[in-house]
Amino acid sequence: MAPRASRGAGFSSHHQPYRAARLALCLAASFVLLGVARWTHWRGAFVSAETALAAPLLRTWSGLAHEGRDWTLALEPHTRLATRVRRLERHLLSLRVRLAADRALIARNIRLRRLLGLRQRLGRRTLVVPILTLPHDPYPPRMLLARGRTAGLRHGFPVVDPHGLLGVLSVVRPHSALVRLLVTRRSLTPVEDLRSHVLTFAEGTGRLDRLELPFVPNGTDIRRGDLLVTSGVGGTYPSGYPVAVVTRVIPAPAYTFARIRARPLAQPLRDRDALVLLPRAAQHRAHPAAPRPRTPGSGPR
Amino acid sequence: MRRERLAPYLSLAAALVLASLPWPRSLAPWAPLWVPLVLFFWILVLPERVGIVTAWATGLLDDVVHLTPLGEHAAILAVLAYVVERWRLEIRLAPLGQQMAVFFLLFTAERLLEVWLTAVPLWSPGVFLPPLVTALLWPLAQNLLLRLAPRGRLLL
Repeated sequence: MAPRASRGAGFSSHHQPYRAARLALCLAASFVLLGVARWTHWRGAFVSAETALAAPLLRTWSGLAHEGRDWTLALEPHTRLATRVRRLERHLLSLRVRLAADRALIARNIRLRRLLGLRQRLGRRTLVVPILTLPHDPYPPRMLLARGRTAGLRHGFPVVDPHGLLGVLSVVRPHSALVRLLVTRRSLTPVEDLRSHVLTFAEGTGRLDRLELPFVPNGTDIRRGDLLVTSGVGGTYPSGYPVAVVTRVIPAPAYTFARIRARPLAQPLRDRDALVLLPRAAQHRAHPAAPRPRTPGSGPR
Repeated sequence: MRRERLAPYLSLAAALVLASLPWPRSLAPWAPLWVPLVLFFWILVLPERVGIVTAWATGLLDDVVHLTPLGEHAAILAVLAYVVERWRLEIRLAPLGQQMAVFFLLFTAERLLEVWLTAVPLWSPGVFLPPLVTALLWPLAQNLLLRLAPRGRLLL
């Protein structure tokens, strides 16, 4: 006991001098890095370096996750698995029954899409891009794509999945690209209520399942269940792509604006591939690599 | 000897790899904070080798792994490393239960600093569950990591 105690007392002061100075130095270094990233144009370079370093690791995990996607199944209790199997079987049955009717539905769907003005979207060139990482719960939602500049991706291209709008490309490296999801906290997406044609913004909350409409005056014609589509204002997103469904409208008579919540339609946790919307050929040639001007949808996170 | 010299860095690297492991959505809030756990252990056991600067460098790698702005985790871990280093002897001499309590508070502080610095919403389970899980892992981690430490370095 005695020698250990003396040894402990020995190096406590001797081996770690200037403790506060080291802390100050480290904090200063951090703040310099963060400040440079925040207020200079090197932010892209920093994120690029990070994705370049992290990509091999993330690629490995992503590959493993796709190989044995269900390693979590081993952790789930048997009863819950059984319930799930039963539910899926019922679901399968109902799907089989409905399959017959689906041909007609598909035809009707095409007509509806035309009505909704999504014809534009069909005319657009898209690129199917595998997703490398999914949003990670305790961290701000981000998504890394497995294609980059060499595949023709550029800063500011909209990213969608079959259900709705995902976000916009924020950093594009030669072989990977970072998507800023529209649910990122404080990110604004210009939207339009499809029923009443009210134009407004949807703001990200940091939660994957919730958007808010912060600038809607009380009494505006937006109701629960309304479909919000991109309005095309600002030019970042094409108009008419589905974004979210209004889930709650809470009037706030004491304030100027009502509280309105919406559920994003995109399902980033279920996607393995995302669709990047490429601009029309003429525009693309006119501005081959120029980053787009900042719009409400593409500021810093 | 070389193995013993590399042990802190290798285990920190392993912690970083674990931290980058994507957890299933339902379990994500339960993921332990591997990096601070391993880091605190080495600050307690090998203070002359692992300290504030090592913590800062590890934090920088943590930023890379999580694609967060460079310097964020680095600053947080440096601050916590300062606290652990400053009260190292007190923590070392405390009973296991008190160690776990102290570490729980420190891990919570880590999460709260992160909430403050980044856009994580405050009231998500990802803020308060990981510190708890990690503090509960402390006795186990301590036993495992002590096998890697140079002989003669005991925690208590």
